Amino acid sequence: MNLALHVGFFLLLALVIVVLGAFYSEVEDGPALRSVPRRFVVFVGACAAVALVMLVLEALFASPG
Amino acid sequence: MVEVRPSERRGDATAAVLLTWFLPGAGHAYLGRVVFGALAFLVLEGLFLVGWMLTDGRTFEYLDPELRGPFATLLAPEAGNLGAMLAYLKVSGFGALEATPFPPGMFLGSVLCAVSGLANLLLAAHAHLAARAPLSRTPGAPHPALLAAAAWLLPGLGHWLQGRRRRAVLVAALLLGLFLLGTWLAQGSNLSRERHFYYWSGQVLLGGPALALEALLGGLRVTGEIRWVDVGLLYGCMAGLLNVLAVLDVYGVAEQRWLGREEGRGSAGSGAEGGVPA
Repeated sequence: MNLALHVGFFLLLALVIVVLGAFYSEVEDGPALRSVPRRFVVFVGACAAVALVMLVLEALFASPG
Repeated sequence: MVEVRPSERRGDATAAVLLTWFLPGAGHAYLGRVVFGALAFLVLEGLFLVGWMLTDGRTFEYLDPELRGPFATLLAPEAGNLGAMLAYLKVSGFGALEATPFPPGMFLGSVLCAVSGLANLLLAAHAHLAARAPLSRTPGAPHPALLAAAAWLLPGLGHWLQGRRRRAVLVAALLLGLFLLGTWLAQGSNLSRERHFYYWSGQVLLGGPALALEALLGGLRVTGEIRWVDVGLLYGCMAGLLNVLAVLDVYGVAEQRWLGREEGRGSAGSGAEGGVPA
């Protein structure tokens, strides 16, 4: 439950970041809004990759014992 | 950023920005706009001075002792008015050595110093454009720095004034929604510079709504553990930081219009290829 909530919080923030990023990159609303799904997938995918690397490093080097 | 032929420029834009950063109005004086520069100096340094007096020189006492150092205040909005901030640090340092109650004007004074720093960044943008504007240019569209100030003051307002109504509503809804949700999650504890010095520095970039809510609810007492305080602080801070993107979006389009070029800036992140004249 806790993990799901954290993921939900992250996805919500990710959506706002992606939409504002799209607005910054595209002057016209149409192309900006159409690019949101692709940008969202890339953003979340990249964050997931970073999280995965951190978990692997933690498991390898920081776990007790 | 729109390029203008060197022969049409009034001066070096980078020099104007750096001069303004250290001393409000100095960049405009360098460009020959002495009266405007003097007025800007009086207003911005006046704001800072009033803030200094109201806080009794104790704004940076908000920083935890272990965080105090020569670069600790560079992330504070006061750093936008660098000369004044350095003078403040030189004279008042990190405030009183002993723990004493803050003066009654602490909140207002701290906000005035912060606003002086942020306003000076807008003044630096004004100086940058003034340096690059063609000598023959006659004013028409609203100045980009003015629209950027509106975009800071109320998220979406800059877009609205530009006639980009749908984007204005979306920006306002997203950023204000994020900020209000964060405030609810943090149970209002994010509305305090004293508690969260650096998060506040990001949050204040949301402008009027953040300051108004802090003026109303900033004194709330924390009586227990706040479960989602970290998420709330992050949301409040991110709402402010993302408003910078919105401000830059407004500024980029306004700059095109102000210089009389409507080609569109393409990808804002990669500059303003569309505005470069042949």
